[in-house]
Amino acid sequence: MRDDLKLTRRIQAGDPRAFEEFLDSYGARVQYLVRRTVENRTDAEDLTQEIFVHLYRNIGSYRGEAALATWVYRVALNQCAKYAQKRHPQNVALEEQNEQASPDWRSDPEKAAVKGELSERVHDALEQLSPLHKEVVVLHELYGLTYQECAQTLEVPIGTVKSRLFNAIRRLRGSLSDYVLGETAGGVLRVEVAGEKAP
Amino acid sequence: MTPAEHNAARQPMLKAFLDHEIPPWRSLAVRLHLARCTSCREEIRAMQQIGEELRGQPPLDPLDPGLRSRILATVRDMTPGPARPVQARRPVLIWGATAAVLLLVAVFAPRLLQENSLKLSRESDESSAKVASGAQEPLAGSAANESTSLSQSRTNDRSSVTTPPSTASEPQKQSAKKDYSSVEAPNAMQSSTSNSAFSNLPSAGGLPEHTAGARGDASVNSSKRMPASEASGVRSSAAHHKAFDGDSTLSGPGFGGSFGGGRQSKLHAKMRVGRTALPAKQSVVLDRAGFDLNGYRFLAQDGQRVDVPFNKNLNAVRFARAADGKMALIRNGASPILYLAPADVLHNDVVVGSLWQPLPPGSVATQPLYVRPAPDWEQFLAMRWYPNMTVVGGLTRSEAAQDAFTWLPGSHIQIGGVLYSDYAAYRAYADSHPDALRLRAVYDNPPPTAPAVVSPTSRNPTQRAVEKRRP
Repeated sequence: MRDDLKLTRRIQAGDPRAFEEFLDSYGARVQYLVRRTVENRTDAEDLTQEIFVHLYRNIGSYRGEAALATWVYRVALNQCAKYAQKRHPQNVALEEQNEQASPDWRSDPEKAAVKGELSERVHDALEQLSPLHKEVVVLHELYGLTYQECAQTLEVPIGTVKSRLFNAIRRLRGSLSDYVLGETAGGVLRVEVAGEKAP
Repeated sequence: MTPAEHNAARQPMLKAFLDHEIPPWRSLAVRLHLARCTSCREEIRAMQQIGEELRGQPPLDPLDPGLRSRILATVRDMTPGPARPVQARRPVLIWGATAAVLLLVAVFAPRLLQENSLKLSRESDESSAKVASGAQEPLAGSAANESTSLSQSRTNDRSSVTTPPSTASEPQKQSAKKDYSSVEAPNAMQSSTSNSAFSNLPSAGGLPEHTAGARGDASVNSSKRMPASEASGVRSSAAHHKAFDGDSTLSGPGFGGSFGGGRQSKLHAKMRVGRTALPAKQSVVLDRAGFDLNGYRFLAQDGQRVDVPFNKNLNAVRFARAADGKMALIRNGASPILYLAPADVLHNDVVVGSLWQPLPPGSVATQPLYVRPAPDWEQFLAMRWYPNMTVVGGLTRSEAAQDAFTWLPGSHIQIGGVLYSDYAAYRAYADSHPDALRLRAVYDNPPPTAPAVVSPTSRNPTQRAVEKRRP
């Protein structure tokens, strides 16, 4: 966290290299987060740019109390939520009980471009998750944030992170039911490619 | 318990168990449960497998290069956001309250002490041989000492404004007395004086020395030779100042208190909001040094930002070799001194990749030198900077021959792999290769007449303290 604070101070001091470092550290991840939310690729790029401009302008508000990644992702997700609010105002108040998969996500042609970032089958399963479930899976499983950091990023209690993550993984398991097999006689769980027979 | 109830009660815990996100006692409970629950074992293995699948994905695509360039171009002309003022208010309020308390103490304490002394004096006069005079004497002595101390401190406060530092033997005392808010960085008017002070006298290392600097910075040099015992005294003093952070009963300068120089400076730094004068004779250890058309920008290790504007004067800063290998800035005399290790460079923050190394690696500049990358301000403005360009060393001017500029030994300008041994050769190249940028303003520097300043970049007051250190 000390290094995080150092980096943000350098940015605040107007060190252009520091911002490049910052951009190179978080650019890909923020871009990925945005692409999870924004359907159109051009819009996704615009929003990514807006997020980094916002981060640059507000770099002084990072106080080093949490990991810089937490702060960056929180800002990014907030901006994504604002974007979603503008585009789909009816979807603003997403409650836990409404965390159902959107059936049309997989049919979006824009998603095809993103598929290279994850292997196809896991990507497809991830795409079937609701935004809230997807966020927490991306933050925890892909970006390696702890539950505490996820809670700070998403601004929810740790208990919510736990339940979201558990529900998300269960949904993933359901989506990958063709691949994930149950306990075998030998007690070994295997993941197999669809079409192959389990012994 | 039905399977559904079982899942609702147990299974959310399984993922947290898998991620080592539950306390040990719960972890043990989960382990015990797993030992006898087949369905949960199956569940946790499936979750483990899915987690591994997710984490085993290929790395994300890098940020789109075109998008990266657009973002960098967008923020280039922007100013990064400062700390939120709302958080800055808290220390101000705290220090304001502390100041109010100390003001009361300062007003009433002498009266109380006086009354105490009178009372003790009366009691002493009236007492018989049986009275425990031994118990009174320390009290009376203590009161007298405190009164004396207060009185002396006030004398010191007065002298701090009127008595400039004159001797090299008491740098620390001078620092305590110095009213640093009254000293400014060199401006255009001082520039002529500074220029006239250039000297080309060869030093022991074969380098020209700045004679005025040698006189003016005697205290700095003596502090470099400070014995270890004295140096440790400075450190312990700093430790004391750290402990002082939590003491809410003291106030800043101007409230009648008696403070040491370091403490006073630290309080001063804390209580000033916005730009603060660079404390005199206190070095600020730096992480980075850069420059643009407006001036120098230094980033201190403790988070402070130190701006030294050029004011169209290339003598805004003097340069000297750091004895301890740490880049540091100290205000001592007419202009701040930047102590540089052999590998330290100044970054051109307009043209990323172009550097200036004021002191060539081989130089042993024991005395601060004025060094400039161009003969004068106009030529400095006309310089073209290339991303792969490094100006090593620079020009200094002889006091005897005002118009004669000489390169420091070992100076050159390197562009790519080509060395240009003097300024004219470099200009010849630059004139024929105009595809490079001139300096421009990128910092939000203070107005041209402003003094050297420290702009706290952190809201945390403990991080604003200037390290009291002599390089």
